[in-house]
Amino acid sequence: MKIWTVLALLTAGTVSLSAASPFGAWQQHRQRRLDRQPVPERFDIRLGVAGSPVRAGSLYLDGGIGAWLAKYDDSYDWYDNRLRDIYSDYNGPTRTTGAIGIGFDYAVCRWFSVSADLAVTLLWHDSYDAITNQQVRGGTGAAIYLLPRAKFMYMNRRNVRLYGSLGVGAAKYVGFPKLSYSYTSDSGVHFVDNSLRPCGEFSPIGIEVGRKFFGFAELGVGTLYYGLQAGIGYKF
Amino acid sequence: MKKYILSLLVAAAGLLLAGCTIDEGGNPYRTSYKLQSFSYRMTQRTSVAAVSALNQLLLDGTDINREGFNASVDGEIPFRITRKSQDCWEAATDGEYATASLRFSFSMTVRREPQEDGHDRWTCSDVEATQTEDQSRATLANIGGDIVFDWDTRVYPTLVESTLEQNGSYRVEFFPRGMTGCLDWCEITFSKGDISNCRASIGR
Repeated sequence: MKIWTVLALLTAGTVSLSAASPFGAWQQHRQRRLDRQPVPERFDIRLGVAGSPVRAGSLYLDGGIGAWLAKYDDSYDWYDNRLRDIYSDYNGPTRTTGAIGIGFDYAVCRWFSVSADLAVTLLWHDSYDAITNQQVRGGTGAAIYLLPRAKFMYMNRRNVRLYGSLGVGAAKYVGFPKLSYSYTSDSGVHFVDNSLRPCGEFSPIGIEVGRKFFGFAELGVGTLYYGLQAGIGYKF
Repeated sequence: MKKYILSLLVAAAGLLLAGCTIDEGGNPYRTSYKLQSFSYRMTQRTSVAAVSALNQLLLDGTDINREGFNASVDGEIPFRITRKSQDCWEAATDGEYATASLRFSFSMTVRREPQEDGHDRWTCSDVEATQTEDQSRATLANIGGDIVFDWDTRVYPTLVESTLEQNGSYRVEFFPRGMTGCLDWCEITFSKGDISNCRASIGR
């Protein structure tokens, strides 16, 4: 028991001595200064998941305005609910992976970075027969985004960084039947492909925690997701 | 170690918040409401269209007991009003009106009965209509008697407003995808121009 008491006293004495000594104070000051420094690495690579991909979901389920117009193209106001609609197949639950992405950042200066994100959202559902309610087929769609972004650092410290970003790019929607379709009107059969579209994402606030290996989370609204994106990254 | 755990926690939170189901699905089309709405519109394209056309001819000063008139539903579907006898006509499409996506036809007998108040009563009997889209078909017929249109006149200090109000019942039967038997149906009853009763059945 005595030995533990002695060890405890020695430890306490050492700590209080180091904190009180000029060397200890200098070391703490140096550490604080170091922590306030921006992270020195200029590149980073990030992996993230974002939810919820509202825009991709709405395009997958309802198509764009073009699909909506085509639906009524050869009809008039009073056709607004047609037999073919009443007895068309319907969808079961639509599920998604969220937007899974990889991003590369380059810090141009202390407060500004440029980045390029490549993300994929998968969506899938089964279709059912309106009369028998039996499953008739399954469908999967993929939205692929390429999004260059400008990233503004509000606070840039070695271990914590706050930022906002704005990105504009392009999205390709594969397997979205309501974006690539054909329809028949009195003037014939028409083929439409609206699967390549612009996309954008605005993130007013995001946080990175960690130094070389870090976690991040950001709030955003746009084509990729409405809500939160989070993930991990590595600086080099 | 702490920062690794923190990073993983943030990533896990993201995965959870990403959500999985974005739409619950289900059939928003084959519903009682859709059947009722479709049925209502069929009534508008048949009896209402025929009686309105005859009234418009009257307003235009046309002698409606003259032989034969052409009219249309919403300016799109042409139909013919043929005199059968004094104050009695047949209103019908010339065969089937067809577009790229649907075919539509109707026929009925319309009678005019002058009333004591000076307004005419219009009676539609043997109302029949068929709409076909791809392999699906819907038929409309009046049930429980004729469809009767009476004028409702309201006198205001500065104007007199007259409305032609529909009374009677229809039954619309649905034969989807080439079915010979009726799968769904809807019965719709009008009283003084408004829908007083409407019920639909969705078959299994």
